Amino acid sequence: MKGEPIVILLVEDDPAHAEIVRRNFREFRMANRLEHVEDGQEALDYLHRQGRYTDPETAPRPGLILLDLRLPRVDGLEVLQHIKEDPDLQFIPVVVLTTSAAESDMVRAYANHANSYLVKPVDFSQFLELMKILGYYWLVWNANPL
Amino acid sequence: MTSVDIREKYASWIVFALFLVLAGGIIVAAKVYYNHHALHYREEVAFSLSAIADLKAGELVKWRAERLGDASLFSGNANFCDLVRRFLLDPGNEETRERVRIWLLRTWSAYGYDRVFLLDAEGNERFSIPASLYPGSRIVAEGARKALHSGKVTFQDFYRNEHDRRIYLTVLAPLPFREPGPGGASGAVLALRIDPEQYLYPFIRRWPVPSATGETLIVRREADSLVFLNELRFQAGTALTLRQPLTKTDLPAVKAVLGQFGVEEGVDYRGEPVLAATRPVPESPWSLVARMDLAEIDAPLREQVWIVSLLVGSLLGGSGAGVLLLLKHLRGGFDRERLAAAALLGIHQERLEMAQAIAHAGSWEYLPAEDAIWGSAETFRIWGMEAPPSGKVPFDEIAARIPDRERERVRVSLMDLVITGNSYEVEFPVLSADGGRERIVAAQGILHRNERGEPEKASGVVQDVTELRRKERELEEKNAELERFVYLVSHDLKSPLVTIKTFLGYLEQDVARGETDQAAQDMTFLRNAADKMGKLLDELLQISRIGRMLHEPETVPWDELVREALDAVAGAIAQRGVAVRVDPVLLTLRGDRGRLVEIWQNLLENAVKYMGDQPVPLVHLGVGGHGQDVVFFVCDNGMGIDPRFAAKIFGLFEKLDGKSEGSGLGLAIVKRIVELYGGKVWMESEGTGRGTCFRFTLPGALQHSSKKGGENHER
Repeated sequence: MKGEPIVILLVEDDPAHAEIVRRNFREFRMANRLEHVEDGQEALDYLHRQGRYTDPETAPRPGLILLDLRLPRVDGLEVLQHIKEDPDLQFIPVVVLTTSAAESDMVRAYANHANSYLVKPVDFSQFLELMKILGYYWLVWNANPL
Repeated sequence: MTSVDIREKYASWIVFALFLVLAGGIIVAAKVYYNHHALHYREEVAFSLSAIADLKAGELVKWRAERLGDASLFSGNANFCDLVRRFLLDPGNEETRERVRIWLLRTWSAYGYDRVFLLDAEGNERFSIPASLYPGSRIVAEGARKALHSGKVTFQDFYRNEHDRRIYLTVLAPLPFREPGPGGASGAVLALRIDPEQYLYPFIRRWPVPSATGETLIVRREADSLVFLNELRFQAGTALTLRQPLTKTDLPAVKAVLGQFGVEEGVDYRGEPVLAATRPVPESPWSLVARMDLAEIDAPLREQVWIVSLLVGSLLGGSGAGVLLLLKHLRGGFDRERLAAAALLGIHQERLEMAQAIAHAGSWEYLPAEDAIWGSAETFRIWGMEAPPSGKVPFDEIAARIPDRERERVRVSLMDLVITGNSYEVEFPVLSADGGRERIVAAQGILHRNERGEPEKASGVVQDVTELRRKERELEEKNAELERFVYLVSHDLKSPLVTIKTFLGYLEQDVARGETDQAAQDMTFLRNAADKMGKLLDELLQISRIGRMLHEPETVPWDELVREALDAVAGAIAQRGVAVRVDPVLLTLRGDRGRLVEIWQNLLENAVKYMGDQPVPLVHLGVGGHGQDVVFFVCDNGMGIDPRFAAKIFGLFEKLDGKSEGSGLGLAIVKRIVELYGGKVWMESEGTGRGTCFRFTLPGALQHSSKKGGENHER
């Protein structure tokens, strides 16, 4: 584990859902930095340091990407495909976090090399539990070459 | 062979059989009739022959009895006997001589005897009426002695007088004397000679009806021979000279003398076949034969045969003619049926062609020997070719219509069908002769083999599936859209639900912790999520209404539709301060007024909503193009859309800006309404910040209309 906090990029168009994720990370005292973008295009801009995200200070390279699938402008799957095809970005773990339990979405996500696929539970405590496990798993235990 | 041919053959056979049966019946009936008639006729002839024989035999018996009676008169007359004795004693006594002469003369003239004469006991002739040139026969003299000896009247049968060579019969009456006569003689004999030519022969010969061959004859037996006693009709000099041996039993006369009497067929003295009735003549050595040539008997039968034959012939001819007429009539019927069938075939052909034209399906045959294809009219239409008069073209001509990339594949599968019989089912594009648009053609075929199992030809159908494939694609698109719709709805409904449940959890925590500020914030999230759900449900209702025509179509001028749309979004336009420019266009549309208004309304809302930070916002509505190619447009100078997202914007619930208020439904609704009118909608934008143009066509709503330019006006 490294001393520097891992930057998490949350790609989520629903402000409520973004708030839930934010609260949970805060709840479990994960001293990580959460960057939130609201659509696919913004996510790509962030990762390529384009548009509003040219400054490395305000747009640090994420160590984990939480990606919703249904996004305005550029779809989550397109963003995923883009990341996994880019040699600079492909090692960043991408966890799909979506309300969709559709099999077609899962297939397409894994086909595009998603590292994990999580369906947002409708139940409050389950959602909390999921966020807790997700945090520990990806931020504490998961090792990657970065 | 057609069913008509078979039925005609069948009918011909039936008619022929009918004729055979008819002919057989006629012949059998004629034969039965003739046989019956012949039998009956023969019976009649036999009956009349018998009757003649009976009659004659009876007459002969009677005649003989009379002759014997004549003789007995003298035999039993004592006075006459004494007179004769005295005459013989004294022949010179004139008185007795005269008395004897008178007696004899009276007898001779009264009874028609040929000669009446007296014989003494020695058999010498002593007195004769008439006086004869020839002496009496030795046979008579002998008979006289016997008669005198026996004392009985004797009938001396046919004999020939050796002196005059004539045939006679003689009845001998013994005249016994009471007193001795000359030389002690005890009596004399009176001979009554009969010349059969005078009465007997004519009587025998006489036939009661006219007949060419009818004849009665009498015969008697002499040792082993049969002797004919009278002169025969067809042979002269037969009396007492013609003889036949008794072994010739086919002669009815022979049978008669042998004691077999009756009616039977046989041959006569000439060897002619005859029918004969034979009878005994009682108290005589005679047998009587009444005969007639079968030729004469059968003559009426032969005539009958002729008549019957003629009748049969004419009946057969008549029925034959009838049968021929029937056949001809039937043939005519069959010919008419054939004509009708041919006409029907023509009608069927026409119907088939029509059916093929309607179904856009043609039939074809591939003839490997010629490497040619025969096709129906519709087949050539589908191929976009002029149909040749023979209906046949070389395969290469067809192949030339198939684009290069597909040609080989089509040929290979056809060859595969012809060689192996593998199923042929290919779909390929075809270019029409004028080089126009490509058509999609689907062909199926099967292989026909001859009796030896060798491939002979292939035949099948070809179908123009261009439209079908287009509709299939459309349907697939619709299906995909529906799937996507369901997916999106489930997602978009679930999303606020997750929010609600989660923030309810947070709210509980807030309440437990007494964190009022946090609770208020959480409740805002809850409210937003609930609002979002409500809005989504409204939109679902709205979208479900599209695609259903709600109102009767009406004709509306274009500017009226635009004005209604502008009125509907007037609030938003005013709020944002957007200038609207409407081109003056004289164009009428026909359709559901409300739906048509919705197109412009949604596009205007969209334009105003995404005006961005444009300081001089402007929306421009107008119409371009002519006739059926009229294109409507709604352009703005707002934030514009990245061309990369152009295809995405018309999807359901799509929105390019997550923060915007739009449901993402507006453009989807526009697309659906435009498509209802058979049109297309697309977006043009030079990019972000450079404005957006939505263009669309509405062919289904276009009326015969004119479009006029005029002054622009702004709102």
